[in-house]
Amino acid sequence: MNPMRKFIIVTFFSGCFFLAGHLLPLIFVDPLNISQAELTDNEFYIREMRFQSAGIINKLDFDSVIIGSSMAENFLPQTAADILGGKFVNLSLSGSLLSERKVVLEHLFRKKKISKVLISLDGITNIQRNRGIPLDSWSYLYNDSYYDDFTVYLTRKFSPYLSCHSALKKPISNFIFGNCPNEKIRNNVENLTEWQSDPDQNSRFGGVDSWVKHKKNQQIDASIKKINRSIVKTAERTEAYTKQSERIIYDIDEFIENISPLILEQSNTQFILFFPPYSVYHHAVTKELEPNIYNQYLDVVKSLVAEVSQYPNADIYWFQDEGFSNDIENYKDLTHYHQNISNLLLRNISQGRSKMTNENHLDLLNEFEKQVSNVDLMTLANALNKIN
Amino acid sequence: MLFNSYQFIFFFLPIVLIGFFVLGKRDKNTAALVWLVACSLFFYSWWNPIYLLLMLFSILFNYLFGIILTKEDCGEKKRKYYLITGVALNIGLLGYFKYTNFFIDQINLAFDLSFHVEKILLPLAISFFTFQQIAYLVDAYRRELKENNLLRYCLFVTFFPQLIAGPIVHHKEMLPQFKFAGIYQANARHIAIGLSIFAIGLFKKIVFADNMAIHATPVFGAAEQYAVLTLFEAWGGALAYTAQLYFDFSGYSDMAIGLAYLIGIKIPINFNSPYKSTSIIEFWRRWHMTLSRFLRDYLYFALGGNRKGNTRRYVNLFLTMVIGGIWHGAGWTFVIWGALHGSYLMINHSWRKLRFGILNWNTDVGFVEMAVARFLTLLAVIIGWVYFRAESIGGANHMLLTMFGFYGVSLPSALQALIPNGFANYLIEMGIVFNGMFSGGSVIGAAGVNFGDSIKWILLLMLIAISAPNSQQLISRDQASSQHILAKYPTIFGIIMGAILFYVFINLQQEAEFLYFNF
Repeated sequence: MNPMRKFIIVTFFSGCFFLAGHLLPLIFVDPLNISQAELTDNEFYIREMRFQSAGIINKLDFDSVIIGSSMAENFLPQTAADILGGKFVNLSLSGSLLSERKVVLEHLFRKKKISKVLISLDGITNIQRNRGIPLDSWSYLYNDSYYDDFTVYLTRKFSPYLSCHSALKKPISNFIFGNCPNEKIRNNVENLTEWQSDPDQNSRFGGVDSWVKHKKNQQIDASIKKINRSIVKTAERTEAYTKQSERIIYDIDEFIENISPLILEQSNTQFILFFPPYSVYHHAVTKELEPNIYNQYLDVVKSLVAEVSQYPNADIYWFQDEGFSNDIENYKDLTHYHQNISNLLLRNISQGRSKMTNENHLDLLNEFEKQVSNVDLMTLANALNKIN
Repeated sequence: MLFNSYQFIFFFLPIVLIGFFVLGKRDKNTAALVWLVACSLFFYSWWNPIYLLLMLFSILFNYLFGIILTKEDCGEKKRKYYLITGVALNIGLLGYFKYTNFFIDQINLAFDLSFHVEKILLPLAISFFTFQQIAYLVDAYRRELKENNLLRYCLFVTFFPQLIAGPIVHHKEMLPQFKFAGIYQANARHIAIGLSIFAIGLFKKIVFADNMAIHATPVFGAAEQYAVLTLFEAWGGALAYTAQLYFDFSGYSDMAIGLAYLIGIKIPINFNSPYKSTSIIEFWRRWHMTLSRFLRDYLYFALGGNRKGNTRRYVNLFLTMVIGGIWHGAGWTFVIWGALHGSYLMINHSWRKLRFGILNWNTDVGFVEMAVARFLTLLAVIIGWVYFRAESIGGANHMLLTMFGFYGVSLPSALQALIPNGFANYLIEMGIVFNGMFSGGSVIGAAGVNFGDSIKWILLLMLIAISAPNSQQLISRDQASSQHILAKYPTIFGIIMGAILFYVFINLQQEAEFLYFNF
C-alpha cells in the first residue's frame, strides 16, 4: 500500500479509536445526568452548576429554586423548604452574572411549574469577565433540543468524573481518565452547592486570627491587601484609582434586561430577591478605594427597589441593617458570610422582615451610609498587620 | 467560521474537498475552481454577508485596473495615473473602515471638538486582501503579470485557507498553481502532509495559545486599570502574551498552509521560529514573513530603500515599520510598536555597520555573544508586544514600569528566612519587600488566575518557542533517506497524528478567535 495512504488510514482509525474510547464511557455513565434513559444509577452530582443544573432540571422533582452566586450557595434546600415552604433545589452558579442565571431560569420555566425563586442580587454588572466559562460552552444544555446536550461530552472536561463511578475499577479508570475530582462532586443535591462544610472554607471564619492564619488564601490575601490600600491617605494613592473610577460595574440595565421579563412573564411565581449582606468593611473599603463604584451600588439599590415595586409577584430584601455585617467573625473574607447567616436570612424572609420598599429604602440606605462611615478600617488593618 | 470549529472541520472542509475532487476527477477543472471560489465566498460571508459585497467590489475594481495596467497600448503616463488611482482606492477603502473612528477621535481631542461618527465595523480580512491586491496592481504596472484570468484572480484573493489572516500570498506564487492538473486529483501525499500540518497548527492554537490567554488577559486588563501588580505578575502576563501571540498566529498560519496543501496548493510559510532570532533584523525575517516581504518589496523599496544613503535608509526603515504598525490597528499603541521596531532596526543596522565595517570584528560569533544577542532580541520583542497588546499607552507604560521594578520588587516571604539577616536588611533598604511574588491582586484574583501555579506553563511554552523545532521541521523529509518522514513511518506517525487530532477535538469546545483576525 502507498505509505501515505497507509498513514491517512492509520490516522483516521486511531483517531476514531481514541474518540470512541473517550465518548462511550461518558455516554454510558452520564455524569451530568443528562440522559432520560437510566443506563447507570446516579451516584453523584457535579458541583459545576452551569453544567449540572440541566440534569437536575431534567430529572428531579421540585417546585422552588434558589439561584444566585456563591452568596446563595450555602442555602440548604431542605432548610429553605422548612422555612419558606415548597420543595427547593439550589442551582446557584458560582460567580455568575444575571445573564447566565437567566439562561437556566428560562429553561426551568419551560420545563416546570415553579412557585418560588430566590435570587441573590449580585452580578449586576456590565463587565464581561475574563474568567472562565464562556456562555456558549454550556448554554446549549438549556435549549429546546435534547440531543445536542450530549455534545458536552465531546470535551475532556468530564472524563475524570468517570473515575468517581463505582462501576469502574479505580486504579484502571484513574490511569485512563484521571483521578476523580472528589472535591467537585457530592452524593446528593441537598448539599451540592454549599461550601460551609468544606474544612478549608469553614476554618477561615472566626475573625482576625483566622484570617491571619489563612493569609495565603487567595480570597483573604486579596481582602487584606485591599484593606491595607484603603487606609493609605488619599493624597498618597496613585492615579490608579482615578482611572478605576471611570468603570461602570453596577448597572440596573442588567437586571431590567435579564430578570424583569421573567418576573413579568411568570406571574404565578413568587420572586424573592435579596442583596447579599457583604461585610460592612467591604463597603467601607470600596468607598475608600473606588468611591464611584460605591455610589453606583447605592444608585442600583434605589433603582432596583423602584423597578421591583412594579411587580406584585416580587419582593426585595435588604439585610445590611442587621448587626452581623459589622462583625468580621461572620465572614471568611470581605464578602462571603457564614451559613448561619444564610439561615437567618431565610427566617427574616419568611417573617416578612427586612423587606425593602419604596417607603423605607431611603431610610435604610441613610442608615447604611452612616454604618459605612463609622467603620474603623485602621483598627482592622492594624490588627491584621500586627499579627501578620 | 473558524478553522478551530466543529462546523469548519466536520462540515465545511469535507464538503469543499469532496466537491472539488469529484469535479476534478471528471476533468471539470474550471467547475472545480468555480466551486472553490463559491465555497470561499460562503466561508467569508459566514461572519457578515454584507461585507461579501465589499470584497467582491474590491476584487472587481482591482481586476479591471489590472487589465488596464497591462494593456500594451496604454501610455506610461496613463498607466501611472491608473496605478495611483487603484492604490489610492485600496488604501481609501482600508482607511475608511479601519481608521475613520480613530481619526475623528484624534481631531476631537486635538481641537476640543465633538464630531460624532457611528462605530464603523472592520470587515474581516480587509487588511490582508487589500495588501495582496495592491501588490497585484504594482506588479501589473511593472508588467510582471503573466495572466489575467478573472476566475483564477478571484480564487487568488478569496482562497479560504489564507483569506482571513494570511499568509499574504503573492499572485506569482498562487496563480500558476491553479493551472497544475495535479491539484484537481485527490492525492494521498498532499492529504497526508496537509492534514499533519493542519493538525499541528490546531494543536498550537488550542492547546498552547488559548491556554496562555487565560494568563495574559487578566494581567493586561489589570494594567489597563492601573491596578497594583507585582513585578513577577507583570512579567508573567507579558511572557504569556508573547507565547500566546506566537502560537496563535503561527498555529493559524500552519492551519492555512495545511488546508491549502490538502489540494496540493503551496502557500508560503509565515513563521520560522522567530523567537530563536539573534537580532531584530533576523526576527523580521522569521516573524510574519509574508508581511515583512510585502513591506520590504512594496513600501521600503518604494520609499527608496537603501539606495539614497544611510540617513534615508534609516528614515525609510523607520517609516516602513511605523506604517506596518498602523496596518495592524488604529491606535497609538500600534504606532509606538511600529516606531519601536523601526528604532530597533536602525540600531541593529548601525551596530552591524560598526561591528563589521568600522571596528572590523569579523570574528566568529561565540556562544556568549549569541546568547546575549538572543536574550536582547527577545527582550526587545517582548517590550514591543506590551504596546502591541495594551489597549492604551498608559496601560502599556504601567505594565512596563511594573516589569522593570519601578513599582517595587516583592520577593517570596519564605526567602527572607533563608538568607542572612544583613543581606535581607540590605535588600529591604533597597526597597525590596518580602511579600510574595504574586499578589493575586483583586483584578487578577477575580479572573481566577494563580500565577504561582501557572508560571511553569508560561516558561515551558516559551522554552518550546525558543528551542523546539517548528512545524516545517517536524513534518519534513528524512535527511538520510530523503523519504518523507510520514511515508517512512506511516503507522507510528499515523497513530501520533490520530492522537493529536483526538486531543484537539476534545478541546475544541471553546472556540477562541485568532488574534490576527483583529488586524
